[in-house]
Amino acid sequence: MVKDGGRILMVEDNPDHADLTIRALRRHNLQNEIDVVGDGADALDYLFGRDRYEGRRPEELPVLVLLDLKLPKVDGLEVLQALRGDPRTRVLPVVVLTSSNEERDIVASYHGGANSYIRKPVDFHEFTEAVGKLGLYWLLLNEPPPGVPEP
Amino acid sequence: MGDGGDGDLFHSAVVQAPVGMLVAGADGACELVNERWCELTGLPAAQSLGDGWRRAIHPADAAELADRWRSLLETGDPFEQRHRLCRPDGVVRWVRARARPLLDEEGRVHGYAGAFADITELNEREAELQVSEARLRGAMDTALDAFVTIDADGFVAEWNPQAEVVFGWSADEARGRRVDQLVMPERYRADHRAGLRRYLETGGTKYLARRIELEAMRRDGSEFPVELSVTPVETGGPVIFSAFIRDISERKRAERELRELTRDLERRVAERTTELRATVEELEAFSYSVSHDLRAPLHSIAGFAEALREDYGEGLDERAHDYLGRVRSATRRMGQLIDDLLALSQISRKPLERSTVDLSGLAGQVAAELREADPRRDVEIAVQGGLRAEADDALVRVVLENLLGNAWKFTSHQATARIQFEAADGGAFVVRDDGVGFDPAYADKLFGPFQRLHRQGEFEGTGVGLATVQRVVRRHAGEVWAESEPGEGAAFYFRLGPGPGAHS
Repeated sequence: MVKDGGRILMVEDNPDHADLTIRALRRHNLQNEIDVVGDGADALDYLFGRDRYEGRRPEELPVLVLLDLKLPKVDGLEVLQALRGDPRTRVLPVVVLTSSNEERDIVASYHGGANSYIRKPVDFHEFTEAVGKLGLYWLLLNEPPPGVPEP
Repeated sequence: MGDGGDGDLFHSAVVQAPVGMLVAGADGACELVNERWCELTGLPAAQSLGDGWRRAIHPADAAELADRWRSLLETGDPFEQRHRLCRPDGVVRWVRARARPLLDEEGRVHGYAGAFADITELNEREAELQVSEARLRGAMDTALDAFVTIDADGFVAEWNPQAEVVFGWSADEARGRRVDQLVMPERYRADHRAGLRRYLETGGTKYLARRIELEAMRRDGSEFPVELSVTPVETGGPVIFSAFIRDISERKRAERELRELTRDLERRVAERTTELRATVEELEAFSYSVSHDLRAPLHSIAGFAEALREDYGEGLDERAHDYLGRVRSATRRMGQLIDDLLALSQISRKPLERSTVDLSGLAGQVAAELREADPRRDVEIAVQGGLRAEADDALVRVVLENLLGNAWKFTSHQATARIQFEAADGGAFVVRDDGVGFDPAYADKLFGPFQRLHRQGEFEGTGVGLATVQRVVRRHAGEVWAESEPGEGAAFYFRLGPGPGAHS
């Protein structure tokens, strides 16, 4: 069992996909707390401690953001832009996790400052593998930027 | 004829006169001609004496002159007559002849004198002038343009028939009237008069000697566009101005229509472009939606089926596991379908970038990839060297991947196989295999999306591959076709336009 680390913020409007991703992480023994928000506006409120998330201290950033692209209200690329435009979240690790493999989405994500881009494979085994690897890499192997809490 | 001093003077005057002269006695018989007469008539003096001089008269004029001469002798009335002289060598000259009686101191007729002035050149010039005038008149009368001349004060002098048609005033009505009041809208008249004055004072005006376009006025007051050129004519006397005026209403109307048509066309092109852009955007939105939204539920189905198997698998019997396996393979297949469909739509959207493509090299790469993916197969792949085409590199690779991939797939049920890629007739290329082939009755169905000629269990595939090939080839303005018999292998041909792309 891996020790509890920092939180993960998952921005995902499909509850099925959120559950399946959480399940995949747990199957790889990653026990980090996971907060799920259903759209881009909520994601920004969460990270900057606004509105519904007033009182959440912005300096307590998650160790990792899993970001879907196609989201209600504020889409994933706009969230990315807002995060990279704010000094508090400029270096926060963001992994785009999406079902799109459109080249323009991949290009736009990297240009927007995504740390990684992973397409959800339809095959569940592959998906579990992919999520496991990304969790292991970002939560255990990767040295986070200073200011982001140790996982 | 008298003698003495006067007679000598007269004689010498006759001899030296610059016109031809003959002098006759009271009986009318010629007694003396001068040198000039001899030049004019070609008759020596001796032959002119008596009635000899009459031979010099042109036969056509002889009778009339004889009448006048007789009348002179009978009544003493002088006469003047234009007639011709004809020399023995045939040269004809026009002369003005004057004849009158010679009177002595008592007033009695004692002889006659005739003077012949050569007016040949004068006559010729006059005739030329008449011809030229007639020609000019004809030209003016039949001119397609209105032709008008005015004097220095702006009064109409000439008005040709076309001017009558164009302006509605007859020549008789127009002549002698002020041209500005006849044909110019009120607003131009002051300018016109000032222009005339300026020309007379300084010899220059902005309208002269070039074509200008302005509005003219008909008799009924209606205005119409004309093209006008004005030339001052100075002949020594007072200046006159001549003007050609062309009614250009038709031309203006045609120009306006053309402008309107052009504007209309531009507007329609803009509209169509906007519509087309909207369609393309819709298509892109659709593709994006397919990519994301169709895949999302599939992800849930596959994911929870797997979760079910993992978490509750121990409690399920063999049949339940079989069902879950089928869910899994069906979702995998649907995922593949979505991917292929997207690839097909991406091929339509991608801009075509032609360059010289090494088809042989490309086919070799694809063959190597096929072997790598399935190294156990015993397949001979023969690629003809040096095949090239002007094509989009990435798209033509898709064609070869599909055609060689199909050949690889449909030979998979046999121990050994042979696949060829080579040039065919007419600049086409062909991929042949010795696999299962297909029934030519269904050849037209081969290239439709999701069309399959084999059952799912026999060969894997979504039926999008050949549709993709056809779309790529069509985007290259080319064609694709196939030949086969069941069990006899298949041959897939493609030709890329424009022009043959193959060089051996």
